[in-house]
Amino acid sequence: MKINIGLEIHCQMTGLKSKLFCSCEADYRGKQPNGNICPICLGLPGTLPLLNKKALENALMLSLALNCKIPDVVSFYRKNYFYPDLPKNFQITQYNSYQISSIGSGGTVEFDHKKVRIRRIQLEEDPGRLVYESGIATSNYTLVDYNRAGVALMEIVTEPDFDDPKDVKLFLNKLVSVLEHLGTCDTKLDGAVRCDVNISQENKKKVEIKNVGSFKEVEKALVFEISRQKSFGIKGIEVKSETRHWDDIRRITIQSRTKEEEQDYRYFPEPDIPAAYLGNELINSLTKQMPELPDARKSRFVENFGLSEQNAQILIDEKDTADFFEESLKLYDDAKEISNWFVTDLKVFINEANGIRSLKIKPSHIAELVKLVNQSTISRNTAKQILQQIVKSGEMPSVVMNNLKATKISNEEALIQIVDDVFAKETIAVRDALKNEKAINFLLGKVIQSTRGRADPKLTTELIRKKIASIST
Amino acid sequence: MMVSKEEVKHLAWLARIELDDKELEVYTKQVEQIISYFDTLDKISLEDIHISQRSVPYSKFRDDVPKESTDNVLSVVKNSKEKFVKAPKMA
Amino acid sequence: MITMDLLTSSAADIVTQIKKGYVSTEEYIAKIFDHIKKVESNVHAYISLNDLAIERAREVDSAVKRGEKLGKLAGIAIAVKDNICTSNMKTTCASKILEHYIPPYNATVIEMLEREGAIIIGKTNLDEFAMGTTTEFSRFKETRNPWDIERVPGGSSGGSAASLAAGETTLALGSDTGGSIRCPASFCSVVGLKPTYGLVSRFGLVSFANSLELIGPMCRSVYDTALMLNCITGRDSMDHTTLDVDTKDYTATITQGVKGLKIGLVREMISDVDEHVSKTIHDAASKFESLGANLNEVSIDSLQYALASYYTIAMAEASSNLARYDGVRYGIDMGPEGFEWNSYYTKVRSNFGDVVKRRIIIGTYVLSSGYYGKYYLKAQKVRTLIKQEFASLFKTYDLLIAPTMPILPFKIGEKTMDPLHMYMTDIDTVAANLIGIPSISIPCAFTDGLPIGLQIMGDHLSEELLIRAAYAFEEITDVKKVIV
Ligand SMILES: [Mg+2]
Ligand SMILES: [Zn+2]
Repeated sequence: MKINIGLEIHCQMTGLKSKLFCSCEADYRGKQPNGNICPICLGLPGTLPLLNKKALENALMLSLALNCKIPDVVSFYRKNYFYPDLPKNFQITQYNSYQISSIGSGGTVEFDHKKVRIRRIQLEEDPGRLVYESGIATSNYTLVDYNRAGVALMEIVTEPDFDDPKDVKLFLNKLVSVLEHLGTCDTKLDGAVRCDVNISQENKKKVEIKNVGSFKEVEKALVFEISRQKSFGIKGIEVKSETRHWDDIRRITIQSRTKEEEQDYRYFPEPDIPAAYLGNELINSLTKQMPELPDARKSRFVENFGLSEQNAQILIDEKDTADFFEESLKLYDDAKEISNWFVTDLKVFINEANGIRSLKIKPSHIAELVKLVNQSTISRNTAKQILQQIVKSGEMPSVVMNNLKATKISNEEALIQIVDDVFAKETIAVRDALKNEKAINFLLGKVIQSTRGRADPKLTTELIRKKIASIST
Repeated sequence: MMVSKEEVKHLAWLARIELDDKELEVYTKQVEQIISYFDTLDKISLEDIHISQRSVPYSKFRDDVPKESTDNVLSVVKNSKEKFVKAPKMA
Repeated sequence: MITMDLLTSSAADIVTQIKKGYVSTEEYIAKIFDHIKKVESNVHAYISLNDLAIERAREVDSAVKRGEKLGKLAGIAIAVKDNICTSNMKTTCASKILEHYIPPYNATVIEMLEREGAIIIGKTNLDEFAMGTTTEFSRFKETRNPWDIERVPGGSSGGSAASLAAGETTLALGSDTGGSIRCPASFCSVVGLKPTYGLVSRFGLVSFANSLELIGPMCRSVYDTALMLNCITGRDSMDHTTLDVDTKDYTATITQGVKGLKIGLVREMISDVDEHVSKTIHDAASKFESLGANLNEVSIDSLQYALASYYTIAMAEASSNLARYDGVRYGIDMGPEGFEWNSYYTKVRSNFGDVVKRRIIIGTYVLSSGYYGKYYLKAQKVRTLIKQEFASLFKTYDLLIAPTMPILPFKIGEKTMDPLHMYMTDIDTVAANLIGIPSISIPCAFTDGLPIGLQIMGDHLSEELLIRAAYAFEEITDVKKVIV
């Protein structure tokens, strides 16, 4: 069974300082309701939209990054529909028809040796936010906060080129990394990215899943929906063309409660915003300003640092991780050893913390840790132990190491190492001990001495006995 | 162009305007009359005409500088609750 | 104290006397308010009056006494069409929907005029949301033509025109989407200018059809029009559609006359008009010849499609602009609690008047899927075609003249039942809006006690030329502009 999946992604331009068409702050989060509005974004009579040119630049950068065609002149359209979160009861957006093109169109993105086509990228305004005091069904009224209204969005629409939810996930990972490298959207902020997904099986009706609230949920929603549709096939029930929602608590898609009526958006050119002439100069200067993007960075990591493609991929999937990695390298030049930490032990912590920025460690920590291992000051196992502590406390590895020395060593692995060391040095005493029980005390004394008294005597004695026994047999 | 009552009813719905039966009757006639007048545009050949549109260099648009709104915007809102605007129910 | 009739004098004269301290602003403003009290029951020009006007007048007087530098319009009374936002006064658009609405900000033109010392005395009546040609479609009152109170004053800036003609103000602001300044100027025998699109900021003008409309001056003399225009032009950072042009002193060149100018009389605009109108405009053309202009009749073939193009675009834009009035954030409040949102919106929006509802529905029609290409897109193409035809004419001609209105002011109620017939009266004014060129209407003559206006059009940003020609014409004609 062939499945076609297409995505429609909305990303807020969190890198902007002001909204798309007015000077209200772009960062509306945490403000008191309707404390971030002005006559323009509230759509008061007589106000006119004032286009933020930085938003135009950001959208152009994304269009270039996703290999889109860019028109000479960019114009805006009105999408007319009524809804209580829309202050003007139309949304200023872009349009692709009648030889008109949005800021980007006809792009391609490669990921994991596959390709997806980008149908269009457009710039548009976010609506406000509806709040229900007692749930949507029972509220006698709706509360509206317009703080978000007018925040700049990039809408990215793909062709239905995906056939596997795993690929969707890989593509979204790549998109997140591109957005992070461009600095246009902080995808980690709550509500900064939203995704609509459409799925159709060959010769079957199309189903749309609206408003999946985070990229992490998209794959799960798709897996559920596909299995739902498959089970329909088995039972011989026809899949209806419908809009569904992803319930991220129950982890299922559910049919939208309100029946979507057929919309007629009556698009027409926004008369209050003259078409913006871009010109080659702007495109050239943006191309020059373009930061290094994930693909180029990955190649550089492979070529310059000798990393495996797989490890390089893991590093560049999140810009913060890649930046952190490179910062660490500046402090201690061992790319392979350092990268190993990012793809193994450290990765676990990064994933748990939702990003390396949430951890307490700095590049200097990793640099020092690797150095200590390389110099055999600590074993890899000790290093792992130290890592566990420093991601939470932010102490330097050397400090933790010294503290460890001040406390009783009751860690078996750590002690075995020391016992092994002592056995290697004290060959005569070992030979004695094979015959004379008392010589064990001598070895114990040596271990305690080399750990400056921190070795747990009971455990150490046990370990020495075990080792003697293993040699004697 | 013939315009039916059903069409006018649908247009009124799209525009969120209520028309009673009598209004619907009158409006349908008037809309048809006016739309038929607009049909005079069919008499002219326009294939070669490209719509001229004023374009402005992108640099003329607004700089990304935030400003605190000095206007007392919320003074226009009549129905509010704890700074939220009160709207009708959604269901 | 100098003796001058403060109700009929020009702004230019009054401001000179105020600055010299010969005229007390307070007395002058008080006199206007007294007169308003006297005649309003017949004229019905105002929706609301500014309680703070007298206070502003006193401020001007004390500034004069202190010898401070005063603005170009210090102390001058100005009536403002009630679709232009004023932060301390209601701005109703003559609609039930905005009956009690007070905007939290001033339109840019208001800021500019107040900076020059002008005093807003009140907000004038209009057709609801400026949709009309008669001011009969205000939801509050019908403004009367001061020359014959049985007749319409024209519209939609009927209140502004009538207040000027009745001596209820010295200057006025109107807005012109398809002739809304020029039509009432013509019907009330005053001067009205629709500037080049982009010359005056629209910030604070409540939108009806954004791509067509502009705010403009309405006055009792061409000189006052120039003076007022001086104060309101220029690029505004609050309106991206304003043009990047330097401000000018339009009074500086006003006396330069029309000698040697090439003027075209537009055939399509003068055929099919009332015979009195036709004769008057032909006479006016001869007067320009006598002033040394070269006059020719010209033809603009695409004009026959102008009205269909204009109304298609105007209604399309209106249907979208007026969507925001849903009774949630501002304006009419019908208590949203308990209503399902669609039914609340429908209930609120049914408070629009008939004319507005009809235009919204037709605007929705021409944009709806399947019809966009047939109507809206075609209308835009016709607009381009008309623009091209005018552009080629302006290569030869400096100015074009035509009647402002094809008919004389008619009786109130005479045309209200037939919308299409009513639309037809805009036949000569809409072209200037479609292509964004400046156009002025000046009093031309009276026939049987009713005014006839002359329309002068020029290429983009040719206001200087328009004003020169209008001034030269005014100098050699003696047409009454005020009745007190
Ligand atoms: Mg969108
Ligand atoms: Zn704002």
